[in-house]
Amino acid sequence: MVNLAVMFVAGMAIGHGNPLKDDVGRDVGQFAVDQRGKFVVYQSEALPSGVSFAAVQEQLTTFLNAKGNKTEVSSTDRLQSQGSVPMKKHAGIGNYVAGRINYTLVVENNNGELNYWFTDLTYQPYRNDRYGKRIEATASPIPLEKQLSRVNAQVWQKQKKYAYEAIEELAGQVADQLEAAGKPRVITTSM
Amino acid sequence: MKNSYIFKSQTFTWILTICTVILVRAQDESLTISGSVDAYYKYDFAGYKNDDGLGNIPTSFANEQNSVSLGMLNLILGKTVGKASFVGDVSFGPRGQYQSLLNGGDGNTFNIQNLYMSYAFTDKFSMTAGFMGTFVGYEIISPAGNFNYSTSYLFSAGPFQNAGIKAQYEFSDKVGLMVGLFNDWNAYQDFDGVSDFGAQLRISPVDGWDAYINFLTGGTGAIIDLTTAYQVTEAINIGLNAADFSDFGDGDGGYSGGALYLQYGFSDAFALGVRGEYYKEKEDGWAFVPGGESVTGLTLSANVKAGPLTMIPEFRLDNGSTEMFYKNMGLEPTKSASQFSLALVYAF
Repeated sequence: MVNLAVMFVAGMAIGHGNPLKDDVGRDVGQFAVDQRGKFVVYQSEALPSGVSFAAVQEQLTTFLNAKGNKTEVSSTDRLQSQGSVPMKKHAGIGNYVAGRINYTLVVENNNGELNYWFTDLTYQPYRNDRYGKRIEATASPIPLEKQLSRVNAQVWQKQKKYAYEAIEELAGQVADQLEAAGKPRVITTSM
Repeated sequence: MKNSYIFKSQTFTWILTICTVILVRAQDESLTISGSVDAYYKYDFAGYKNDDGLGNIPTSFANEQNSVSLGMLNLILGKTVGKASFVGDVSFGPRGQYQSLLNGGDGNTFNIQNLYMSYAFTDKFSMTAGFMGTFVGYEIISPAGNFNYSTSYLFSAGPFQNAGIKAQYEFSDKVGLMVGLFNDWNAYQDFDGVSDFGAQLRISPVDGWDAYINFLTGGTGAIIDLTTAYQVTEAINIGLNAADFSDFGDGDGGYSGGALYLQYGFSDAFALGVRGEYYKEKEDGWAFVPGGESVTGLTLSANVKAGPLTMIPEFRLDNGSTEMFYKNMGLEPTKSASQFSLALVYAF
C-alpha cells in the first residue's frame, strides 16, 4: 500500500473557513496545515478487507505503548496517542544539541477508510548537562508553527525539515502496523 | 555425519541470530557527538595586566587582557545501549586544559572533562563510575552551559571535577538522592586514596524548578552548596547559588558566598541576564581575595543567538571590601575593577 501525504487543507477549509488566513508569510515546509492552523502529517488508506478497526486499534495500541506513548481508544472508530520521536538530525539552535518531536497521532475509521494524522507537533530541545549528557532543556517545547526571528528563520526552517523527516519515518512504521493488523503473528522456531 | 551437519548448521544459525540481535540492539542508540567551540576578547578598563597577561578580575577563564583568546574545543561522545551508557568528554584549549585542570606530567597532557560509565539497574536506580564534572555549584566549565561568559568566584573557587563512584536513586519526579565516594578535587589519581564523600539531594517542587543541596567532604575540606534554578515563565529564569567551604588545613581557610542570576529572553534571538555575587574568604583566605575580605561582583550579559552561534557581550564590575585590584600598570591599588568582554560560543 502506497501511502501519500495528502494536503487536505482545501477540503477542511470548506467547512471551517480559510485555514491559511493566519498563515500568510509562514513557511510550512513539507507539512500540511489543518483548519486550526496547525501543522499536520496526514495519510489515508483503505482498511484491509476482513480486518476490523478493533484489530487495528489493538495492533497500534501495542505498538505505540511499547514506545512509551499514552494511547486512548476514545470510540469504536477513533484512536488517539501522544508520544515523541527523537530527531536524528539537528539544525543547531542556540546551545541546544539535539531534540525530539512531540506529537499526537489520531487514527480514525471512516466507513472503511483509515485516516490518520500527526498533529500538535512541538520541538523539545535538549542540551548537554555538566556531565556531558544530553538532557531535556528547561525551555518549553516550541510549536513547529511558531515563527522565529529573522536571524534564526533559516535554521528553524531546516529544523522543521528534520522534524518532518522524523515524523514521516514514524508514519511509515504506523503504516506497517496497519498492514500487520489482523494478520496472524508468525513466530520463527527452531523446529 | 548428517546430524553433525544439522548441528553445525543450527549452531551457525543461532550465532548469526545472536550477532544480529546484538547488532540491532547496539544500533538502537547510535553514538552521539556534540560539544562546543568558544573564543573571546576581553578588555580590563584599568588597562592592567600581570606578567601572564591576565587582567584584574581573577575568576576562571575569560581573563586574558586585550587579546582575542581561545576558550576550548569541547568534544563529547556518548552512547547508550540498553541499560549501559558512557560519556567521553574531552577538551582542547586553555579553558579545558591548564585553566581548568591539574596538568599532566608533561605540563599539559590531560584534557578530560568527563569520562565515565553508567548502568541503570532500574528506572530509578543507577550507578556511575569514572571522572565526572562536579555536582557542586551553579556554573559549569562548558561555556554552552552558562549564560554569563565570565565565571563567578564561587565557581572558580570550588571543585571542577570529581573522580569516583556514585549511586543515584530517584524517589519520584520530585526527589532524588546521590551518594558517592570520590578522589580529592580535580584529581585523576588520588595518592591519599579515595578520600572524599559526597551527596546531593534534588528537590523539584514544581515544573521548571530544581533545587540541589550538595555536600562534599574529604581531603581538601568540606563544602555545602545550594544550587537552584526556576524557569518562571518561558522568558524568565531565576537562579541562586550559595556555598560555604571550610579548608581542612591548620588555619581557618575557606570561603562563603552567594550568587543570584536573573535572565530574561526578549525573543529567540536575544536575552539579557544579570549576575550579582557576594564572595568572602575566611580569615586565612583561600584563592582570590585577602583573608577575611570580600568582593561583590555585578555582571550584565546579553545572549545574541543566530542559529547555533551565541554571541555574548558582557560588562562586569567587581568591588572589593579592600584594595585588591590595580588602577593601572603602575600597580596603584584600588577597590574596584571593571571589564568588557565579547565571546562567541558555537554549540553542536
